[in-house]
Amino acid sequence: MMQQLLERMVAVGPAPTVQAAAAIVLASDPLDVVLHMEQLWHVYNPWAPNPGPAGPARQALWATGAFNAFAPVPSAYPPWDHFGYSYVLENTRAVQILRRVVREYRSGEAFGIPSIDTQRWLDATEVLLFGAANPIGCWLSTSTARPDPEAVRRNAYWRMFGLDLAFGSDDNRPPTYDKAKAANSGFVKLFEELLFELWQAMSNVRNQIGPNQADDDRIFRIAQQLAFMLRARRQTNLLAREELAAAAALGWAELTLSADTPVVVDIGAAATSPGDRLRLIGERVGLNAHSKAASFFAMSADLSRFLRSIEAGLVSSTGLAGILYYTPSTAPTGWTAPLLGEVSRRVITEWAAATGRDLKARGKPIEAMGRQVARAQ
Amino acid sequence: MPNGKPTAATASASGSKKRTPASNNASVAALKKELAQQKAEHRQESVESARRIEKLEHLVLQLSDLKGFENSVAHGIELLTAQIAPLADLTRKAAPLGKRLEAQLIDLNDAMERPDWSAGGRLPVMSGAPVDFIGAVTAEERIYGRGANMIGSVTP
Repeated sequence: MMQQLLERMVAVGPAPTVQAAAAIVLASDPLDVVLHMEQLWHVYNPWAPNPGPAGPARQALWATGAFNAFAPVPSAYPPWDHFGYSYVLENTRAVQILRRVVREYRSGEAFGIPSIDTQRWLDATEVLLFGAANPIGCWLSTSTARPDPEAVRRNAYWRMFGLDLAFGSDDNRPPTYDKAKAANSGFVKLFEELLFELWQAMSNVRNQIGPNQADDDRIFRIAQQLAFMLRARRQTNLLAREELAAAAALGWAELTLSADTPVVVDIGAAATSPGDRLRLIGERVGLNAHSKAASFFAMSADLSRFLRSIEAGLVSSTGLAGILYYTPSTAPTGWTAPLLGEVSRRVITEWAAATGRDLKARGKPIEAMGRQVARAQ
Repeated sequence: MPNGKPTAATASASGSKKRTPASNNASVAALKKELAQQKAEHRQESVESARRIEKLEHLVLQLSDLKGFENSVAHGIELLTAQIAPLADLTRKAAPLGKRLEAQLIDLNDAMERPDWSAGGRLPVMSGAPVDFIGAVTAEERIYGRGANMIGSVTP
């Protein structure tokens, strides 16, 4: 959500560069950011073709916000990232590390005196990530019924992917959250099988003679099965609100680490990559980042696009399997639309690096038709 | 004997009566020699025939081998053709994207568009002016900066 906002700010004109746009957003009033989230929620309209979620009062309110001019054009896709993006970024432990940064700055001066921009960042971070009071609750999906934003996200990750985060709570206790009974526990196996088949197809994309391991029909079937699985959790656009809240929170964390932002500089964690910045901050606050954080950062945006395309069911026949592995240079004649070959390639590389699984070698093939819904343990 | 001279037949008959054992031995030897020669010639012909037959058999065998090899090759090709026949269906048959799917792909691309952070660097400072302590400056100076008067212009 944040990165897409920067893109629109640069395109519309007030910020000449992405760095300038990022500086504006990071130092903005959190209410402006929250109003923009409301605007995105309404522009996308999760219940279309029914009326949108916002009433006239709320619409009038966001029209006064700083980012009102940067609303996205209506689209079939939400103007925020998929849960996959939030999941891999949250696995870096960025949110828990930033929580310690906030606590440290708010409770003492061990990190030195924060600059004004850092103080603005602290205000916004407490609102967007940790549920500080704000005139509008920013669709954080939290209430007295489910007060912990991290627990809400964990619940959503479990339901969508059958996955938990790689770590427990901030103090290393087992996480506590509502583990839904309906969860896509077979997601990872199918997903990795699809990545394997896509790698085979990419390896053979220019192969004109000899055995060709590419199997478009299998790619189509697995993609279709994954789409069924993901859509099972999305009926009537369920979980869209939680997805927006997660994309906003993790988008804020990613934006904070995308460059040497004021808080990064104030802490003394200036570096050349998000993974290194997070590692240095983690060392400062005594909470280690995930050792594969660099891979998580590298794949987050591509995984988001990849899963959106799968969930949208774009691969609707064997003849369209190539959408997932052709690049502009290898695409068949007439395929001029943006394809996902480079996106898939990045996901394969970084997923293999992050999980340690060799996706380029076949394990035991699995059946595409598995049980979609599993009972929680 | 009309003129008293012996005829050839009578001469021969009288001659054979007069043949000596030595002359008989010579003719037997000559006959034997002739027979041996004939046997040798026959043996030579038999050897040559056997050699020709052997050569012929060899040629026949060679021809037979060649036929077998050809058969093997032909059979192998037929087998291979039959085995790879299903692969003909695995050739990639990309379906045309169509206007609708093209629009969906473009829409997806636009919705997820994000900036390139490969040259992250340091962000510009938004609020870089030094902050004064409480009560250290006048209200005008707090609003317009040090040296400003009530209407916002800087005092010379």
